[in-house]
Amino acid sequence: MTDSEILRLMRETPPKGHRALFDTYYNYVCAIVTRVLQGIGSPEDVDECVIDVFSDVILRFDPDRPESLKAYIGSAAKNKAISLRRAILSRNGKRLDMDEQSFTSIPSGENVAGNAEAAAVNALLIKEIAALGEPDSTIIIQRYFYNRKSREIADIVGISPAAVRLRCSRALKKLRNALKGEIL
Amino acid sequence: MKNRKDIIDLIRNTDEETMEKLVKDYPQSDKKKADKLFRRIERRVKGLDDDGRGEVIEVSGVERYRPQKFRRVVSAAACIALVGAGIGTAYAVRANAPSGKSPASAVTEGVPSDMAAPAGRIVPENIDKDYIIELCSNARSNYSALSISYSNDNSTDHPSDHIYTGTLQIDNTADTFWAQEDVDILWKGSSTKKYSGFFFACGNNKVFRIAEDEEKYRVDNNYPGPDSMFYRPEKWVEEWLSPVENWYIGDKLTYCGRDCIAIHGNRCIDNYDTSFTAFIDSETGIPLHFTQKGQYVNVFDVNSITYNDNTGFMTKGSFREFLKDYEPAEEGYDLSFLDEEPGANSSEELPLPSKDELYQLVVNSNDRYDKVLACYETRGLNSDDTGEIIFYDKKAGTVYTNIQYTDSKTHETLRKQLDFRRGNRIVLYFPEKNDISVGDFENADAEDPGFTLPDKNEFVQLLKNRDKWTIQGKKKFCGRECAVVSLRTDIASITMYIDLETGLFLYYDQKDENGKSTGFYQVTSIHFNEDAEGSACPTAEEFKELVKDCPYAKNADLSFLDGTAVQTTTEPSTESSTENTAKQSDVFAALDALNYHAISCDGLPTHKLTAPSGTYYALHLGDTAQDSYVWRRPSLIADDDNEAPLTEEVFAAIRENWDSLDIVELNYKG
Repeated sequence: MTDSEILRLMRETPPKGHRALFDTYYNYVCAIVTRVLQGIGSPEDVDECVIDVFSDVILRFDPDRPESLKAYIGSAAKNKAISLRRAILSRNGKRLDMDEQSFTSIPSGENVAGNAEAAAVNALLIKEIAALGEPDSTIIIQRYFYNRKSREIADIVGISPAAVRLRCSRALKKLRNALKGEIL
Repeated sequence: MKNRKDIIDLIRNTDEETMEKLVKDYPQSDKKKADKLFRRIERRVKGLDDDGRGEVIEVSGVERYRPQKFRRVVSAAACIALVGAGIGTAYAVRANAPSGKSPASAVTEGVPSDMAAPAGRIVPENIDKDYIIELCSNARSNYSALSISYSNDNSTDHPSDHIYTGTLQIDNTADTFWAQEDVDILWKGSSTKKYSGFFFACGNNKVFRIAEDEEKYRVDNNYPGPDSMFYRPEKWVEEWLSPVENWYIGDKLTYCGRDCIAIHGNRCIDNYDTSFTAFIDSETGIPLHFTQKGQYVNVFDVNSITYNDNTGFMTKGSFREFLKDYEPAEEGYDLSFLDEEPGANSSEELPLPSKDELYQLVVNSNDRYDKVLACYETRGLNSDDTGEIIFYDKKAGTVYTNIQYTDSKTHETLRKQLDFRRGNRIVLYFPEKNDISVGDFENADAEDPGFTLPDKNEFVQLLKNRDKWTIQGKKKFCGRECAVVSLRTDIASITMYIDLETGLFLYYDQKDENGKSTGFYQVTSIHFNEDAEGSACPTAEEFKELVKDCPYAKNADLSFLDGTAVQTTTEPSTESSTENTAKQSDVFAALDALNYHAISCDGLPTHKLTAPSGTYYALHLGDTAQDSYVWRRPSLIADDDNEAPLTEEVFAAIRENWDSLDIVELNYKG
């Protein structure tokens, strides 16, 4: 569903619009939040943050605005996750520098040379992950992209957590070999 | 790919496009969970808690906000006038979007490479008006870089409706402000006319595009610039938040993912009662939303906001290129402020390094030059000192410092002192007493005396933990291109400028938790190699000659000042080579000092190593360090996820001390 269709629904039938918004952007928001909370937040923290982000968008984003819904929701997800990360660190007594946000290193679109290289690397990565075949592709992505634990992945792919760990380890080795010499 | 961590990092740090593709190709596959979350969102939006009862504490009292829309029409002339009255900008507009590249456009889309939060203001529990005024007035000091995309709906009683969309970037490290705005004028709500304007400021220098029908730009340093909360926040505060009786503090809320404070007020503008509402970012003082209702209606909304990442920003150089598409409105504009600053080493900017690259640059800084001549000043708690240092080449291996200590309160000179060091031996010469002192220089690397003020080794130790610091951006300092580094320890926050070409620390400012300065150092001039030659700094022999008549010199061993060549050329060191080879007792300390990442135990450990403290380390020992990992329990960085690749040194230390360690082999059958 496109942004304009979602916004039309949000204007005309808000409940349907909210559901369309959620269905379209749920994975996108999860990916951003998960990335920011890497190594810090629990799965429950990620869920809370996702709820906050969608609540923020539903309550605050004016469907008549001449701006990108996607830009707003991406910005809201990023900023909300940063705030949560800092709160968690503070709660745990780790008064770390709140500027330490390099964990969210999604390259900007303006570093042309660097991005061209990064784009090639990413394209190769996607290709090689797909080449792993199922369930390994899903295991790798669920594990490292969505930061899920082995037992959760086990439920998704229908094998034991130990088998998930083993397949994950082997799949990483395969990826490493496949990408060795190709990049970096 | 060097190792599995590289692969994992790659998956976790894909670009925006790849992230979207992965999201599409590999959804979370858990519809039940998604449905549950959506139900919770619905309850949250309705103001109910997760059980469907009562109010949600986190968003309690948040008004359900919908900016009002007004579709009215004005003449083009009125439109131009209104731009100046608008919130977002004060520069005028004209036809045809500029053909030059707009670096801001990308910023709105992606999460930037060094997505950083603001600089550390602690938001009090109870926010009062004084806090808001101070916060907003000094908004530009609360971040190093800001990127915003916004819309501004500006309506009057005239028969047109015009909507501005724009982007702006503020780079406080470079003292630049860039804004570009597109304006849609909806004639009678149907036909659309577009205009575009831009504004670039560097310090007091301002370039802007003002007229409607000309491809020209103007340079006018008296031009006030966008009279907005972004460019001159203190003016905005003066205009809207003074007197304080005219407004009140509303609810706390979240906007664009940022915690905000709503403020509401009234004021009289041109005999019209005007009400306003603003959502103020409670940490930076940036208004993310502003509604004004009176003679005309102005609704300003930030659509995306990013702090402290100046990647892709319009620089002076790129703006000069941008201007080539336009003609000057008058001949003879002085655009020299867009030139590279004097002392810049090359016309090409040095790229901002990664943390690892910067760390290695610092570690190997002494390989980047043969001689340095620099002046510096420091401010301490009790005394200040200024001095001149020369670092002679590796053959001489000497550091000469001419220091003058002053009382930090009275500024009276306390003493003068000349230091001369070779390796870890140092002579301190007190000319007023005609006396010397000879001793060891603590922490000195005998083979690498370096430019050691402040002591490089201390900073190497500080920077070793990459999680403690971030690169905020770049800044020209002392004519040198520097990385701005923000570092926080348990007791202090530190800002440093590190020369991107040599890895030297040119600026250091340490503050305690109350913001009180506890240490300050800055280089005030610096010259390298040929430029450093010909100074009046003495050689080792000359220094020995200088102090030879001091009473203590007769009995002191000054033989280290004899000769010239004591240094051996060393290869650039790596991070690991700076580590001491771990002895048995150091194995656990070395294991704890590894660079742990939040990666769970996906591989299988081959050994279990238990420390006397009870901490255990699940080790996966391969044939080489590169194939070896450790998982620590308890984790140093997260509840249960942590892994670090072994370094050569730790790997060797474990092997070396194998028999004395409590290490058992594990036997997993996969």
